[in-house]
Amino acid sequence: MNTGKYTAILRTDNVTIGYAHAKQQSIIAQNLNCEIFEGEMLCLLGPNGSGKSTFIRSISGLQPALSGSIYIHNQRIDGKNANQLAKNMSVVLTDTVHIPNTTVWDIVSYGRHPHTNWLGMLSETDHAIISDAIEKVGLTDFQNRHLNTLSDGEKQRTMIAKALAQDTDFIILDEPTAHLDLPNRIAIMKLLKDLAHSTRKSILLSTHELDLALQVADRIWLMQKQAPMLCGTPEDLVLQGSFQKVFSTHAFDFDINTGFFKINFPVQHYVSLSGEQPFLLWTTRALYKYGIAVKDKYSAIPHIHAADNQWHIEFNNKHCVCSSIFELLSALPQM
Amino acid sequence: MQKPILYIIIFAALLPIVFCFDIIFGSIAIPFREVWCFLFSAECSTTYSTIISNIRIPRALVALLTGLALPVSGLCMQTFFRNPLAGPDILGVSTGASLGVALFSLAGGFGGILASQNFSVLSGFGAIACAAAGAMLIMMLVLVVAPKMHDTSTLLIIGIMFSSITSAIVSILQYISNPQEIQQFLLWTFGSFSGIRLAHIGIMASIVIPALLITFGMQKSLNALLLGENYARGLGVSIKRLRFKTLLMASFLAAVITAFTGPIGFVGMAIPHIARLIFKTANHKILIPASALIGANLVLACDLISQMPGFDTALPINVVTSIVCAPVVIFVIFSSRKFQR
Repeated sequence: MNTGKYTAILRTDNVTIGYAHAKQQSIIAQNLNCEIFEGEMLCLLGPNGSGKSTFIRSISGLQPALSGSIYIHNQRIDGKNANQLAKNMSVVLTDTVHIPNTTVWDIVSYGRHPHTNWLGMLSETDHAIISDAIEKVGLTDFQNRHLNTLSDGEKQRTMIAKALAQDTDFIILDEPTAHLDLPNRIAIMKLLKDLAHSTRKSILLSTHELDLALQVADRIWLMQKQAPMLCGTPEDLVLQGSFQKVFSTHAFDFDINTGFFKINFPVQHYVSLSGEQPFLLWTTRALYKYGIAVKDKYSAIPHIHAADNQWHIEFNNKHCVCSSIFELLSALPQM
Repeated sequence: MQKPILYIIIFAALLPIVFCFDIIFGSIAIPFREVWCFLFSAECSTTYSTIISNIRIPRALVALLTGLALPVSGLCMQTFFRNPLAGPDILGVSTGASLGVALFSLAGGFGGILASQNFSVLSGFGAIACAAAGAMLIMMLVLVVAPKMHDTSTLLIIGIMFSSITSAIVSILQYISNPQEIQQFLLWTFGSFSGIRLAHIGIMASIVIPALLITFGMQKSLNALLLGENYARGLGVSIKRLRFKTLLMASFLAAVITAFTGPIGFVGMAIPHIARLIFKTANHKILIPASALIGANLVLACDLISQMPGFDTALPINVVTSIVCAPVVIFVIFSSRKFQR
């Protein structure tokens, strides 16, 4: 990306993260150099134990970096007090929030905390900002609902609205899609992406959702164990082979041609296959799970013809018709 | 929006009425005319005015201050530890006070020697000073340990350990003491609003009222703390300072009250819940004054009950607060469920 065109909101310079104990330091990751630009949605990815959460905590000022500096608007974050920092960045964490007698509106109004006086009086402007934040996350109809009546997805939206109400250029979220079902995971990611583009805020989130991150992130920071962090657009990282390197194990592979992660099942048998879509695709997938791979037709292996919810198996002059994949899978070993 | 203010006005208006009732009723009922006369004109019957000025008013004032302070302390502790069962004594402050008094009065301590000669020393300033010293000792220990703890649940465990060590020491002292000393000490543990001189009440008020005001000044940060320490930090709260201030104020209020009155059970833990249920909010800007006002009304009422007219002996206040507050909490829970449906 052309840094001349975009303004860097946050920048890390040779940051080492980890925990300092009385006598020794335990380093989790080092040489972290990266920046996030205005209006950008950035996903922080990495295997468990690569230090995503620690990095998020360090950037949000909850935990000091062991060395190096983190700058927001070209000012070191450790030189700022809590209130100044709260005006520069807002956080959405994985901590569970359970407050009785508290509505969505109340929680979102906490976002105005750094901007109000000691009494916490909310002005007309504050009210407008809070309502606007609630509307942006689509909770206007829920604003008087009590927090404990909300689903996990709605709770997460509430916390995002709180961060919006804090009115900062930079929002940092620690695994915002954890505990959510797939439609909610997609909705939250889409929401964050739209917010980044429409409000020109920079949004950094850590996530385990590789597929989703590939689809929505403007750029990705990819943390690896015992190796430098990689930065770039998801597509660049894929084409450079970084995804395969970081995430592929003996158990699964990142398929560069489809963009999907594929679980490796050791192939023990072969069949040949003909027929129509979508029966071909789903038959292949079902067979793959049982270690059966598809090859070109030849006489030493069974042949399956799949079409119209009918599966014809031919092998050693025997013939058998199945009406479901379940039947097919139980018929195959007998052939 | 206006409802909380209305409720606060109601409780505030109720307070002088309950206060007057507490002055009027006792082992002998004083006619209201006499109380009015005592308050607003110089010429009154002397017997009544002596009772009013030397017994009833100090007693009611101590009850009032206790009712204001303990619920606020309990509310802070509940928010701080994110635990609805927390109360002013969760960190062992009032067991610390009882240790102070026990060291003073039990096992041949100085106060004990006087007590064995039938001096009622445990209502004097000696006991107050010792209770304060014991409570402050535990409070200091907690404040020294607190910054080293990363999360509040560990601190809670440490506090409970402090409190069990202290009560164990108190038990040892009781075990090796003579019956007279033990009786004196037991009387102290029942709690009492009486026998405190007006001058001492002045000291008490000059500590409690500023502490309450400082606590109210922390309401915005306490609200942020409801989201958890990390979120509060993200909202610009200096957690280290808030932790210290909250612990200091909550333990301090508990320590001062316990030093003067002895242990007062249940008020600090229960009343914040009553306030939450009535006011239906978690906002400390409302809950702090609400808890204080409900507390003051309820403790004065408890004091009234403890010295019901027609009974020769007054019930120990520590027992009355528990017996009265627990059903009130149960009642409020049940009635608010009904309203919610």
